[in-house]
Amino acid sequence: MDVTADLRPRWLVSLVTLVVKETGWGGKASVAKVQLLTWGTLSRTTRQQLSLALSGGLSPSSLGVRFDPTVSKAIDLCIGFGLLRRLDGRRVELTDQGHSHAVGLEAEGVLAQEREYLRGIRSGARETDIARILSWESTS
Amino acid sequence: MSAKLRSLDIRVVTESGVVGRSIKLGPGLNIIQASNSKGKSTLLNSVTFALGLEGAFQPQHAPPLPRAMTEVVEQDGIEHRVTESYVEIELQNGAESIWRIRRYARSEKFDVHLIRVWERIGVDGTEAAPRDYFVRLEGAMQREAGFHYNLARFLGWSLPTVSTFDGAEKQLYMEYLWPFFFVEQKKGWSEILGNIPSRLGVRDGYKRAMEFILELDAGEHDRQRQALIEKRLALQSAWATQAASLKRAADVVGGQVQGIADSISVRFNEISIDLPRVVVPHDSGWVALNEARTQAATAVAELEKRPIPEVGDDHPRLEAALDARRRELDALEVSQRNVMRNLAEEEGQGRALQERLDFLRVDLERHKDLARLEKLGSDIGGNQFLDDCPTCHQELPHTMLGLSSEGHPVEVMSTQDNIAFLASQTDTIAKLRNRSSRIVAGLMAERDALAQRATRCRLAIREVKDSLESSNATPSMARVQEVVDARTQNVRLRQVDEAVSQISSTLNKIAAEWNDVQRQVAAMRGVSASDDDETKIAALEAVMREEFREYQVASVPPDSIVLSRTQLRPEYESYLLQVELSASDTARLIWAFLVGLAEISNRFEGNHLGILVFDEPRQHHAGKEGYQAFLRRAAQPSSGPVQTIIATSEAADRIRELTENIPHTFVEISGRTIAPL
Repeated sequence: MDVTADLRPRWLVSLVTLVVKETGWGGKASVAKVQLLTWGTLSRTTRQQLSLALSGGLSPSSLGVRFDPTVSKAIDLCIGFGLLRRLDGRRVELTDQGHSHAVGLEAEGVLAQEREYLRGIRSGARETDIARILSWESTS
Repeated sequence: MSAKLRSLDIRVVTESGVVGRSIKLGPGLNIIQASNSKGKSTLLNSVTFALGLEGAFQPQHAPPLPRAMTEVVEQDGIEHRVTESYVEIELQNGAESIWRIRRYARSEKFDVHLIRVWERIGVDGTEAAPRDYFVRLEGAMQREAGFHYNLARFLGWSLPTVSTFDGAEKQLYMEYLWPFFFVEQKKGWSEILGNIPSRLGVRDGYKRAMEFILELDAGEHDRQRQALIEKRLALQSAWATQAASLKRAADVVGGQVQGIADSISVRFNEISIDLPRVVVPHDSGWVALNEARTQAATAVAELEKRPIPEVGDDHPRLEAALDARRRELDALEVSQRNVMRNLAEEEGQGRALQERLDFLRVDLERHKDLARLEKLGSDIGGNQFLDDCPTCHQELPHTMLGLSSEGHPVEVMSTQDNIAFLASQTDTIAKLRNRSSRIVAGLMAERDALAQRATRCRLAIREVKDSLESSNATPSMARVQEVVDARTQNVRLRQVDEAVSQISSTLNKIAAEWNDVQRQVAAMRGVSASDDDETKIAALEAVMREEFREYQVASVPPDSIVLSRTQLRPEYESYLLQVELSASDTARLIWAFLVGLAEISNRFEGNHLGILVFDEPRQHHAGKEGYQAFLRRAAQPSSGPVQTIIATSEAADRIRELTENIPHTFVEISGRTIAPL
């Protein structure tokens, strides 16, 4: 049977690495942030919703965020492959290997749309913004 | 054309006196020798500056000359401010006319864009009064006061019209030709003709320049092909405009256009059209426009035959008409509801298909990314990657989900199979989507036509009711309105018919032109080199191979070198020759190509300038024999006079040794090039 690309290990691991590289402050990100931004990046609809929610144009309660077990698995694989390291129970950090992998993805022109999206939202995707969204706090 | 540089003068006026250099040049080989960093390149760059061709190598308008010519001259440790400086060359054309050309690098009186020319006929002729021209400003190539416009005439050049990237047609700029005659020291030796000024916007500038120098027919073919492509684009635009006008005309009477595409694409090898059909709604169906006109004209004639009755006399007919109109309106409203329901359904299906299509396209792109990741494997960022699980070291499954059916793992497609599957799905869904779009368009047209008919019906009901309510002795307004409506519809149909005829006639003309253009494009396909062209290109190939042997090129076998017939660049086994050569052989390639080009252009009476300038020709890359072979060839080219000017920092004694028995003019400069006169 066919399977969507976002369920293929190689692809999802590459996306998770990209999320941490492009939006992690100092190469670090909370697992919750990785989950939220991975979910948001996956489709045009969720990208629009997430952008609006981060900018305050949409109530966080309107987002149908899913914490995806496959993303948790992908994070584990990233750690196993040395692309990320676990800092504590809630945060991960990009390793040198992970950094060079993400840079290599850009050089090969792979996951270009996803990378462009993540770069576009990163200034509004601080940990405090993520916490606000996940706790359904609106900006108003 | 065999032009010749007779002399070069540099003058720099400082607060303390005049410095500079004057050199005389001869025919054939000229070697200018000066030690490193003493200003030999300044001498040669002055030639480029004097001819207004520095745009070949730089976008800036500042002179490509050192500070010693524009700011300060240092002498004996003291700096002297420059107050004025200029460069002057004597250029002789093939018809014995000589131009003394002066251009100021620094002056309070003369702008850097001005070039002054004195002309005389013959060495001993009298100079005419000077004329001033402008250079490196818009129009220098096209206007009579432009320097390059006049230089082209002086050299006997009829520069071709070429296409630019913004769709215009302009004369080939001389800046595209100059790198074929002048190899400057800094960038000229790193690759063959690497500094063609593509920023000037000529499409395929290198190829156009080669075609001009060798006087190939192919250049004209390419220009014609490009002109046909531009014409085709214009015809597509004209067709789309006319098709839209046709639709608007039909809309006036609620009609639909059949048999005409909204747009034409290059896949349409030939368009054959009959008159487009316009159908208009009539009673319960659709009829052709001319049929509707006939019926409308007949209806008007019938109505006009009968006198307008009074309401009292017309009562029974009016009642019957009201009844019929009401039934008609009921039927129309039922039809409208059906069409609206079908439209909503089909639009919903269309949206679902579009969503599916968008999803498939995204997934397809992601799978293509995945295929690239798999192919690159460990090559991304130098990481070993993703074949085996990092903990249990078993092969990673194809999916993050543990899919199974009745306890057995479900077999998941490989990436390539998935790509093929997605591509096939995308194709199918796209076809369904397009079909759905066409159905929606048809339903919308039907909806609009029904709405128009319903409106007319309601109006008619209103008019009949008004008539029935008015006094029996008054003329039946319903009948009057009926006549007016019938006449109006008749006029409208006639106007639409006339518009359709006119537009059809235009469409037919466009179709005829399109078919003609397509035939011409097909005829030109694959044709780029005439027999004459092939002879010249083959000759250049042969000369280059001969030179490669003489210059002892080692990287590739000389006989394997070909000149690409499509790009006109030297190739080896289908790759650009450049890629295969060592650095030392690259210099020899440049010698071979440019010297060979000069020889072949002369042999076949092409448009080579007749002058070659090499600034530090990387002679240390070639052995003594290879370099001597180059100098010998430069001094005595086999097919006509070419003046070759070489600037070198090689020691004077070594030059004398190398050029023993080779006729040449030797200019030795001791000290700085710019020195007290």
